[in-house]
This record gives sequence, C-alpha cells and structure tokens, in this order.
Amino acid sequence: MAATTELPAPAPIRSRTLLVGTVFGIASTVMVFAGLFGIYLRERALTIRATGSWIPSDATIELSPPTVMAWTLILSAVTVQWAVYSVARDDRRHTYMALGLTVLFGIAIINQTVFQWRQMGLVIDEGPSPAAPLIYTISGAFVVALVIGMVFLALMAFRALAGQYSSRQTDGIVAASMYWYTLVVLYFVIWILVYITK
Amino acid sequence: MTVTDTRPSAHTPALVAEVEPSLAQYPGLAGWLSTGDHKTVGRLFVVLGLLGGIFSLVVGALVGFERADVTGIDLLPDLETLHQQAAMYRVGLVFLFALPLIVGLAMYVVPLQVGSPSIAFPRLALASFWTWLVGGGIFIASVFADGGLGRPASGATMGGSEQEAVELTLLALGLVVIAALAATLCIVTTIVALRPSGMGLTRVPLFSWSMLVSGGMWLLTLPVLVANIAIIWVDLRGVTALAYGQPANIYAQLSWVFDQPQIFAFALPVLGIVGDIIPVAFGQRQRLYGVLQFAIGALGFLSFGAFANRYFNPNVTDEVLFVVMGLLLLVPTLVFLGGMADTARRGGRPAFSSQLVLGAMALLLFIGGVVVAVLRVLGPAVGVVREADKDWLSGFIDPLEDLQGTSIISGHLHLVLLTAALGAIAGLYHWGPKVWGRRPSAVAGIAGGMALVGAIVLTSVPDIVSGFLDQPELALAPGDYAGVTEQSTVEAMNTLGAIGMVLGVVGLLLVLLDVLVGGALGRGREAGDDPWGGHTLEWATSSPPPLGNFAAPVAPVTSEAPLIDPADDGGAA
Repeated sequence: MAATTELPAPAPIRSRTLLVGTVFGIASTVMVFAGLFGIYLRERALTIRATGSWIPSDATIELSPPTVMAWTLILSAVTVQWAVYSVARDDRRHTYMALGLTVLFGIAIINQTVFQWRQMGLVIDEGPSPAAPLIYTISGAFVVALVIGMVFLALMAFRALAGQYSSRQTDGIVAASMYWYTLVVLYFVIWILVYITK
Repeated sequence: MTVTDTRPSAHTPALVAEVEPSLAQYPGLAGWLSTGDHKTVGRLFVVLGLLGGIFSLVVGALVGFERADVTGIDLLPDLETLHQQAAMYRVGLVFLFALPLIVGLAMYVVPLQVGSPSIAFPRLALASFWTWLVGGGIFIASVFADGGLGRPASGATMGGSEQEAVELTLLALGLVVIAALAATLCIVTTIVALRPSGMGLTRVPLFSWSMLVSGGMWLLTLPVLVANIAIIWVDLRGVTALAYGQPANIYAQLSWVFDQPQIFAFALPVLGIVGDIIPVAFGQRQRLYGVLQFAIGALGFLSFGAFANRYFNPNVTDEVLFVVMGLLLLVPTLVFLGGMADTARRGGRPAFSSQLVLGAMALLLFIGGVVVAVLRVLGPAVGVVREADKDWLSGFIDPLEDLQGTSIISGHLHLVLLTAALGAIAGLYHWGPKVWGRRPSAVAGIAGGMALVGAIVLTSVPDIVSGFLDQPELALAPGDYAGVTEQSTVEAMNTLGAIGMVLGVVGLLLVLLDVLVGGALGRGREAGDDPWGGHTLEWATSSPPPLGNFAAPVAPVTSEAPLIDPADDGGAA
C-alpha cells in the first residue's frame, strides 16, 4: 500500500462545513416530522373523542411490517457506523461494503413500506376519520427522507472512491451517517406513534 | 490499494477559483446556469426578487381595486379568480418578493462580511435559485390554470378551481419553500463554519448575525409549512378530500406563515441591515454590541410561529403563549432602537445617503409592526384583568377583542413584509457599490424607497382601520362583508390600499431601474472600495470583489469592527 506522506503544512483552520450544514439539514428534517407528529396526535385525539376510533374499521394495519422495518433500520445503523469506523482506519473496501449494505437496507425499507401500503387497505376518500391522509403523509415523508439519506450516502461513497475521505478527513461519511441515525430515530417515533399506539 | 490524502479545504483564493467556474469562463446564460460564485447567485436573487415584488403588488392592486366595491365582482371575471389572485398575492409577497430579496442580499454580502472566500455549498446555492425560479414560475402558471389555494371564507367544493391545478399550486409552493430553505442552509452554514480566525459569533457583523438568527428560524419553521402542504396534497389524492384538502381549509392551514408572529421572522434581517448602516453613517463604533445581538436573538426566538396554526387550534390567538410572545416583542425592539439612537446621538450630523433615510424609515416601520402586534394581543391580555371585576375597562377592551380575525391581519402582513423589503432595499443601497463597483443614484433610491414607504402606510393603515370596522380577514365575496359596520368607509379604505399597491409598484420600478442602469450597466459613479468608511470586512476588498472575494487570506479578527481598529490590524491583508 502506497501512501502520500509528504504533505505541505496543514491549513490553519479545518473547515467543518459539511458537518455544520448537515446539522442544519437534520434540524429541518426533524421539524418536518415534528409538524406531522403534532398534527397527527391532535387529530387522532379529537377523532377518538368524537367517534371512539381512529383507524377505519375496514382497514387493517398490521404491526409486523413496521417492526421488521424497525429491525432493518437498526441493522442499517450498525452498517453505517461500520462505514464510519472503516473510513477512519483507511479501510476502503469495508467502507464501500458498509455503505452499499446501508443503501440496500434503505431499498428494503422502501419495499416494505410499499408492501404495507398495498396491504393495509386504507382509503383516503372514506370518512369520517382523517387517519388515511395523515398516515400516508407520515410514511410517505419518511420514504422521501430515506431517499435523501440514500442519495447522501451514495454521493459520499463516490467521493470516497475519488479519494476525498480517509482517516485524515472523514467528514463526508460522518455527516451522511448523522443524517442516517436521525432517520432511524425518526422511524422509531413513527413506529410508536402510528403503529403501536393506534 | 493506493491511499491519496486530500487536505481539508483551506479556502485559498486559488482553490476557490478551481471549484467555482466564473462568469468570465462561461459568459451569459451558461455562466448563470453553472456558476459557483455566490455574488452572481445573490444578484440573480435580488433582481428576480424585485421583479417578483412588482408582479405581486400588481396582483395585490387588482385584488384591492376589486374590493373597492364590496357589493359585487366587477373587475375580475368571477369570485373564484378573486380567491386565486388573493392567494397568489400573499404567497408572492412573502416567497416571491421579500424572502428572495433578503436571501439574495445575504447571499452576496454575508460571505464577504464573515471574511469567507466562498459561500458554503456553492452548487446548492445556485440550485436553490433555479429551483426557486422554476417553482415560482410553476406557481404563477398553476394559479392562472385555475389552481390557487381554495376558497378560505366559504365553499366545500372547488368551485371554479381545477383540483389538479390546485395540487400543482401546492407542489410549486413546496418547491419554492424548499428552495428558500436550501439557500438559507448555505447562508447560515457560511456564518457558522467559514468565519476567519478570531471572528467568534460575538464579532459577527449585525446583518450576518440577523441572518443567522432569522435563517435559523426559517430552517425550524418553514419545514412545518412543508408538512402542512404535504398533508393537504396527500388528502387531495383521494377522489374527495377528507378534510385538509377541502377548499375551505387549504389556506387556513398555511395562514400562520402570513400572520403574527411568523412574519417577524421574515422581517428580522431589517434590524441587522439598519444595525450595519447606522454606525457607518454616523461614523461611530456601535456600543453594547452584545446587547444588540441579544435583542435580535430574542426577537428571533419570539417570532417562532409554527405553533400558531389557527386551523388546528382556532383559539391560539387567545392563548397565553401567543399573547405573551406578542407583548414581549416590544422589549427587544425598544432595546435595539435605544442602541441605534445612542449611536446617532454620539455621531452628530451624519453623511446623508439613501440607505440611511430608507434604513431609518424601515426601523420606524418595523417598530410600527411590533406596536400592531402588541395591539392585536392586547384584547386577550387585558381581558384577564377584566375577569378580575374591572368592568370599567370594557369600553377599551371590547374593540380590541373584536379585532381577532379581522383585516388587521392583512394590514399587519403588508406592514411587516413590505418593511422587510424596504429594509432589504436600504441594504441594496448600502452594499450596492460593493456589488457593482458603481453607486446607484441616491435621488432615485430615496424617491423609490419613499414611494415604497407610502405604499406600506397606504396598504397597512386602511386595513387596520377596516379591522376596527369589522371587515373580516380575506373578505372577498359580497356576503363576507355582512358584519361590516361602515361599508362606505371600508370601501374607501380598500381603495386607498389598492392605490398603495400601485405606489409600491412605482417605487419598486424606480429602484429596479436604478439598480440595473446605475449598478449592473455601470452608468453610476465609480464607487471605490470603501465609499462609506465601513467597519466590517466586506469593505476591505475591491468593488466588486474578485473571485474568491479577498486577494489574500483574511488576517485574524480581534473585534466586531476590524476596519476601525488599526491597532488590531484587522481586515484583509
């Protein structure tokens, strides 16, 4: 293994631009879901008070697919941390493998979400409960956030392939992993709010 | 496997030149489509924001003249069109005018103020502009294609609106908001991560500080608007919308963005702009800098409006949190005014300039906006006292309590958002020489700005007066005016408001022409690098700045005013 060892004097300030930007991006993502959760909880409480139930009687929302998704996301949190660990040790092969696995888990989540949408028989234009649009918005918004996370991971993987990230500079992989952990935490809130306490 | 280490970005001009293709390399449209230079993107935002303002005010004038006769629909084809245009005016005022104008100014000035050779994520900054432009274009087109945001006052059906077009309007609005968020992300990240050595957050220039505070607020509140839009859009996917997508409910869910306290989050940069203009104009160092920063920060905190959604919580305007936030707005505003007054008192006679006149007017109008905010929460606030057997207060409280839901909300929106734009225009005259290397005409600036001041007064005061006469907010259909006590007075007030819109269009046209001719086309007087004797780093580089902003790396900063601290040896070397 050949390494470039003789570099010029280090830069005076190490910019953490990507990490800072990611933190702001995470804050915005969390606020999208905070808004959705707030509306969901209020509407659910009011509907249950008025009609006695939240999920329409002809819809079946199974707990199994969301639980499988939660476990898949726990696994993906492990693989994304594996990528951070590997890039910090200049182990590129494992970095690519871990990033690839994480993206694969993301694809699996999207697959399971679509499966659940088809299975649960929740129709938007049948009242009186407004559960359908809210559940579809929250699960759909999570898919969108997941796709953003996967694109972020893929971009960082390509940058790592181009030699931008190593033990000296891990910011890109760390930033993408921070966004991914946020998604995992958000999904657990969805799991509890939407699928367990329905 | 070969390991190739790449050093973290050192942000030397050479490096920036490498990553940012300049306009010189790609002239014309190709340059605008591919540039990574924040200065070009900022100029694009500013010019298109001014055009967006002219468009929005023309639409506002149409709606206003239509409401000059409240007994029927005369000027526009039908009530549906009136609803659509009224929605377009409000969205335009915020997202096609005030916000892009401020974002454009910040995108140009903030990296220079914090001594950075580039904005953070230059490609995202460019993408945000084009996304905003395309989203704004689709928004306008969708409204003209019978879209819009439903019929706020009445109607369970879409009426004359096409559901597909309404969905497109929502998607376009979402796109515009996301573009604004992306641009904001670039600006606040620049302030946090790309400051030079020695420039702690307590030494950040006030405009940049106000952008950090208000940008932070936008990043925390506008995503909730995206969530609202998403819910409405998903509900419209059904054959019949269950609740959120119903025409009577669409605007109600989004209205918190156009209402107190959120509107102050959009106007907050006015204080930063004025806070940079006044000390320079009076040639005085700003005292109690940290106190002013705290005041701006407190105002930002008090302008968090995502909780005040009147669709989901109709009584929110009577609740303690809303009332207390409204009352408290006055405290940091007065503290800021005191700081500015102190600087003016110490400075004696200032150098006369358009930015000083417009900045001072913007500050006064901002205070006016805060006073109206206090007025709006005074009813519920004093109502608590009345409950403690103080019936003699009733004559005072009752009119104030009746203000809830009246056109005072529209008047407040005009007052605060147009003041935000006026502040941005003051900033445009302050930093214009830096942007173009030429001085725009002071006469045209003052004439255009004062026309806008007239527009602000004429569009806001009549709506506030009409609020006391019980004109409901968003009164558009003839039936909406049933409870109005003095119909002829309300009609006269609505006419005045429409004339104010026309005055605003004239003012913005003057400013735009002046900026284009005096600045962009280079007809103005040569400005020099530091025409006003500035205090902060943007005046330490050439006008306009080169690619990479500073010819040499910025020296360590040791105060909040590096250019008036010779002992500190601040500024660019």
